[in-house]
Amino acid sequence: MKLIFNYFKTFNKVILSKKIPFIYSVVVPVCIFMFNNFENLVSSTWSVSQLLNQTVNYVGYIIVSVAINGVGMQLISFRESGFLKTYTMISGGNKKYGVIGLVLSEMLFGYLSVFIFGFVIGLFYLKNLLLILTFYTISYLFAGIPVFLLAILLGTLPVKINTISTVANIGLFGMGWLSILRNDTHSILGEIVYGLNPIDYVSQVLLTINQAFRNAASVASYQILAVLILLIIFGGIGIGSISKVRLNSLNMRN
Amino acid sequence: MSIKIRDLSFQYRQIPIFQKLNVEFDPGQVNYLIGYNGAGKSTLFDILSNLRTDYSGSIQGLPSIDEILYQTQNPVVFGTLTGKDLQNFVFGIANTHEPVILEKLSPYFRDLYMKLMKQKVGEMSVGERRWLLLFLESKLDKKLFLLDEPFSGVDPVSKIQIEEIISDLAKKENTCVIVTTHELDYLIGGKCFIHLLNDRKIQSFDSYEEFIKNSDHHDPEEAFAKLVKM
Repeated sequence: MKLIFNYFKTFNKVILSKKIPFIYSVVVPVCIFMFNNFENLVSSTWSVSQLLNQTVNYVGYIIVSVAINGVGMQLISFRESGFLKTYTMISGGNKKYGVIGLVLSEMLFGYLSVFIFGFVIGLFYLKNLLLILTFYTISYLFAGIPVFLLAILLGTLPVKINTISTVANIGLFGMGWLSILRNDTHSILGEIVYGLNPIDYVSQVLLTINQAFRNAASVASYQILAVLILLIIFGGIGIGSISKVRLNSLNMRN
Repeated sequence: MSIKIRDLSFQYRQIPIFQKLNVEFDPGQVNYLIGYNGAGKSTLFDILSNLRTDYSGSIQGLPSIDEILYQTQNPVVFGTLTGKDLQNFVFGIANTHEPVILEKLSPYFRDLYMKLMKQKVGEMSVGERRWLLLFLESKLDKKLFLLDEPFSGVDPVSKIQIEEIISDLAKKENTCVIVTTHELDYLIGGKCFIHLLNDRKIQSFDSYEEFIKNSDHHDPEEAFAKLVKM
């Protein structure tokens, strides 16, 4: 635990000192959401529940982009630079300490990003600000943890950072677009298949929890089951990937 | 603790890197592993640190993996951290370490250490960064230190500072230090073992003097060039 905590502490210091990640994880989604929905926000056309439904794909983008870039790409970058090798050996040869420390620090950053997003949006619904922030916090636990674990899988792939970075970030937009366009399948299998897209999974979690906040009895069992099954799949893949994270660089002799 | 490698063979993507390689790395003095770029020095380090296990042959005397330190070329250190943050990080992610006792440092190194503790890593020179990281690593409870090109890209003053840490490390009881380097000038007159990795095998020399006999002009680079052509 002490080793993981020290990785977590140091990574937090490094992450929070950088400005660029905040731009893509918070500023861009906030600006786009406000640009697309300004009229509705200022006139409070929506109920709180409708507001939250409108934000699900944005939150999905925030969580998945932080997970892909902060965990997946970072593991590959650490591998290519030799960081992973050197510091894993300092920690006694077990890579799990560094990997888990990184995941925890990026999860914290992801939560801060979602919290700030929710706070800015919530300023237009001031009386319900606390409810909005509570909603995002609870949703983040079920949505964020499995996605961040899943992102570890990228660190097991024998790919170079330049290749995967481009593919992953283009894929991010593809995932977001697919999630926005699709309709409810009303079936557990359909929701699971769509939910294999991490942004869609996050959206499903938020929609399910939002519905539960309004009326728990109205939440369809297939929704809950699909979310739980995907949570187990993503979490299982992530935990299983920790020991398979590659330490040797493909590019350089280090 | 001597590390004895017997009949080590390893290939990478069908290309043989080592073929029945035999070598012994002894404690007491620094073991310099020299060779062409691409000869397999870093790969040998990967094998010694158990990062590559698909080889044949035997390796005896290796300490357990938690007693091995492997510093790669161009070690990454976050620029936003101060030296003190770096110290807390390195000591915090290791199982055990000995404390830094300022009184045991020479006045020069004490001043350097105190200065770097307050400075951001990003503002240090490459040599200062390397020295500090190696100094901190030397406090860890490790038995085998694998240092990949610690002098690479470093100014002459920092090279001397780094060399001093490495020499002190090698003198520690039950500690084996293996360093890869292209900086043959640093071998001059030093007490060290030299191992030349060439053509998938290693030729070892018990001293610099034995190595330099291969040069008519007592030039380590000439000795190297002659040996690799043999």
